[in-house]
Amino acid sequence: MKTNNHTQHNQHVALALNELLFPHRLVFQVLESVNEKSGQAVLLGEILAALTKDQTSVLNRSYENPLINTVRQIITALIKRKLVFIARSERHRHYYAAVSIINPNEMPFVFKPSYRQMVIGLLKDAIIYYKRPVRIGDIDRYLDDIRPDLKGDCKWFRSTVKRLAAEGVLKISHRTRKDKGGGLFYILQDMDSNLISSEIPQSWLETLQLAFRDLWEIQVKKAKASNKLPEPLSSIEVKNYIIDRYGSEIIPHERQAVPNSLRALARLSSITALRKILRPSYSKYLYVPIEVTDDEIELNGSPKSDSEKVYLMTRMALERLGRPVTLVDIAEEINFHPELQLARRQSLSVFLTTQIKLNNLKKIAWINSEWYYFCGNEKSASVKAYLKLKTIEGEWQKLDALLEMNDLDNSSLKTAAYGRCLLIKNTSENFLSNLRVLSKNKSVGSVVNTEASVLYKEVKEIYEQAELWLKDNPKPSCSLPEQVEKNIPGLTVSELWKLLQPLYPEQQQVKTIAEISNVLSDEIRRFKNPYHKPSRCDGTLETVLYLFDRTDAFIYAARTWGGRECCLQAMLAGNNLGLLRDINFVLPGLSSHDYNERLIAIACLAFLQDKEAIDPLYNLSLKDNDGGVRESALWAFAFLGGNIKQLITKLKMTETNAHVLDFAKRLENCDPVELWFI
Amino acid sequence: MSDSFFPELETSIIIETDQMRRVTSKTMAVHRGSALLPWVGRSRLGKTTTARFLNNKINENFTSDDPRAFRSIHYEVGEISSWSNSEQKRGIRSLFHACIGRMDEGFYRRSLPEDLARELVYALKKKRIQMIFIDEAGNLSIDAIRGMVLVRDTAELENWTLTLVFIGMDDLPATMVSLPQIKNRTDEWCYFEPYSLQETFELLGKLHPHFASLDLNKKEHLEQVEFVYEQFGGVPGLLTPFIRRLNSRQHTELEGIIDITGLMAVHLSTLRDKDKALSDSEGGYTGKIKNKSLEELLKI
Repeated sequence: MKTNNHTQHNQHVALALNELLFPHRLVFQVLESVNEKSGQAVLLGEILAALTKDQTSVLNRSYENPLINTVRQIITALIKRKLVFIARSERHRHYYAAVSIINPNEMPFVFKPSYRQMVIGLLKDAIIYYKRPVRIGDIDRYLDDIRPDLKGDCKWFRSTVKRLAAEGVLKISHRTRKDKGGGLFYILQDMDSNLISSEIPQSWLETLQLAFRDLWEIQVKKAKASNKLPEPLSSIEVKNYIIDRYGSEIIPHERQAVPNSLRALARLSSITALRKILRPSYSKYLYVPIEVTDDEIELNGSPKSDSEKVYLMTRMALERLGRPVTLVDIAEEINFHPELQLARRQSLSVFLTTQIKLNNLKKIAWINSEWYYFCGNEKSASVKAYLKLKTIEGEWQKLDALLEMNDLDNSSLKTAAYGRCLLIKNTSENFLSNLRVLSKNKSVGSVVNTEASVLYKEVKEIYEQAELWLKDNPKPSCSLPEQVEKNIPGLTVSELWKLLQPLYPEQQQVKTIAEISNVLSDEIRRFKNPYHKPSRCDGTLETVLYLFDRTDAFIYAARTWGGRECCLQAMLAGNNLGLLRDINFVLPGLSSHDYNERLIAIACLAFLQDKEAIDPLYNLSLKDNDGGVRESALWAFAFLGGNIKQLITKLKMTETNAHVLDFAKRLENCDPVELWFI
Repeated sequence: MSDSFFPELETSIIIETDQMRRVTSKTMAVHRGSALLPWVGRSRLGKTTTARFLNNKINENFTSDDPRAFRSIHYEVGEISSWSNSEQKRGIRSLFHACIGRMDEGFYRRSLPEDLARELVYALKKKRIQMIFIDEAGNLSIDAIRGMVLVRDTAELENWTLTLVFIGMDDLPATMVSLPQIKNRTDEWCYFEPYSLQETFELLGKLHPHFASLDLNKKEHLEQVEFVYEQFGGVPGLLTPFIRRLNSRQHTELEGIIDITGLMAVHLSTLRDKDKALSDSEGGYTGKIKNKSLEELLKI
């Protein structure tokens, strides 16, 4: 019977097709092919999508209406002719089928659920699985973990869910902080409320609260086991617990999610569940359940952060040493207390800064490129004495007296070596008297006394060495003075820059004068300005705290950028002058019998930059019997700013050595900057 | 002074020998060509003394008015081993330290070897140094020697004469001929040999008045000189300590009489101590008396 009906049906279609207009027949054929391909009724859009370019142009030429209207009208006409029927309607959307392909009476195929229905089913399953309203992220997770087979089909479920919520098919159960899983919890409008468990936390705050309670219970148990009171919890401890229990993905991705949420739990009047506690040494809040009182907790427990550990280390170092401490002292505490090992590799000074901000510690002095930290009364006599001692020690170390002593025997200029030794002796004598004054004060404390006595011994040893050296090496010249001049000629940074500017090859890169100070402070000796008056620094001599050693600066510049003669003399001066800046111990060297000593004396005078040396150099350049010495004296004379033209005029009358005359000619027309490059 | 516990002070004197004269004349002969000169020979044959002798002679004769006059420097070099980085620069720095003084570290690090060489040559010209005796040059690596040769070449370029005398033993000759650049620049070789019997006798005569009074034609006298010659093989560096020992015992143990027996006594007392020390060290001497076996005790 079925076959007979189908044959009759086909005959009817064939007759009807003959009567159809060409565009109608064309749309019918397209519908047939789409039905055949998909095996089910199709939407108008699918028919439009299946039209070829030629077919579209035929339809556009035949009718003036837009293509979609044309096709819809043709389909309506075909329905009237019973060639096409509407297989299914869903919210104004019709599924069309050609009778030649799909028999309307038999309907042998099953409809695939629509995408919309599929998403609704998915949501329902997820809600049942999680026993709570779900977020977009939950559906995603459900697809990944439970129904990976649907993942391809439900690619675009996010927009569908939103549309369903807008249409009222879904309702929003509640909102939470937005994160990658979304902030809205969806539930189906007609869902049975028994399927949702009330115990499972629904929001992030609920999850956090639950985790906090669990962790607090553990904390209480632990404390009981060791007969102690429980310590309040830090946000880091809570965070670590949540990660252990739920995984890190549960934590919202915004910055400081856990601390902010904990603070919210302690602050929000509607859900106040926690109480925050501020410990003096910890910059962040600690939390306890709201019902727990201060008597029930241990406030001064183990350190919660690296900063608190560093604070603890500092306190212990202060206690152990009984004096202000440096970073090195604090770091040493780790050796005594390995449990205080920091979690992060960061400079201790960063953590100390935090503690200084919390007013737990104070930076009380900057001595020898080190900060001294202290907590308590920094104006006490013992602290003041200790800082004074450190200042003295720093100044002593800067002198490097031992090296200077050992270098004396290498010095080829005996008079300079004598002066250097005298300088060491006098300086160490001053240090000894300062240390004696410091130790006399009874309120300085044992620490200062001990350290002062160690330094005293060290200085005394050098003093004795110097005394012995002076005994073994009698005065090389009777014209040497009894006392050595201790004043050091200095340059301010701007004066130094003025000197270096014509020589410094990278002058383009130097933007501020202060940069020069930073770059050269290791290369050129700096010392405290004896004329300094505390006021705002405007670059003048009185307002500058530190000065550069002028001789050192000249020697450095000459060694670095100078020409051969300049560099050679700088090396000779550098090797032989040491800390000596007194011209009186160099001048006698000019009359030495040893040509080498005369050469060195000339070099030293050139770099001491004392105008007093001009006349002796003038005489030496004319009268010395060694050509090399005369050459050096000529350069030094010019370098000191002597009238070189006048000297050369006189020299030309007496000089017989061709080398010296050549050298003099080179100097004749040199300006002061060019002298550096000779 | 004679009451002092300490030995008498000695003034060091250098006795000019034929060998020294020969080496000096060979060295001075090639000097104007900026020579590279190895002085080679076994230990204690007088290389360092010859260098000191020549160095003193050059500096004593220097007068600034004489355009031909020059100064010289004699110094002992420390070890610069192969593959120890910047050997050339270290070689030049070694010369700089000896001739001028300490070189600034920054200048050393910043400058290329040729810059260091130029600076050194400038200083040498200023000081009129034309000859440098580098003692214990066996400590130098081939690259360190090349650095020094670079100074000599730079000096030549700047019309300055510079003779480098490498004094040493070890593998110095082999090192110097291993590189053609150095081998072909080595103009002269000086080899130090042990003294002959006659030369030893002459040297002994200058060192001690007893030997000066001897006559080699007399058999007894010849015996004494032959004994010394046989024991020390004509090595002057070994003769002088023997004479020092002889001096110290002449008026005590020998009671002022020096003959062949006395000479033998002085020498054998040292030799006996040396032999004992060596045999102890070879037998694993630990300072403890070994437990002797019964057989050994019975033998005793």
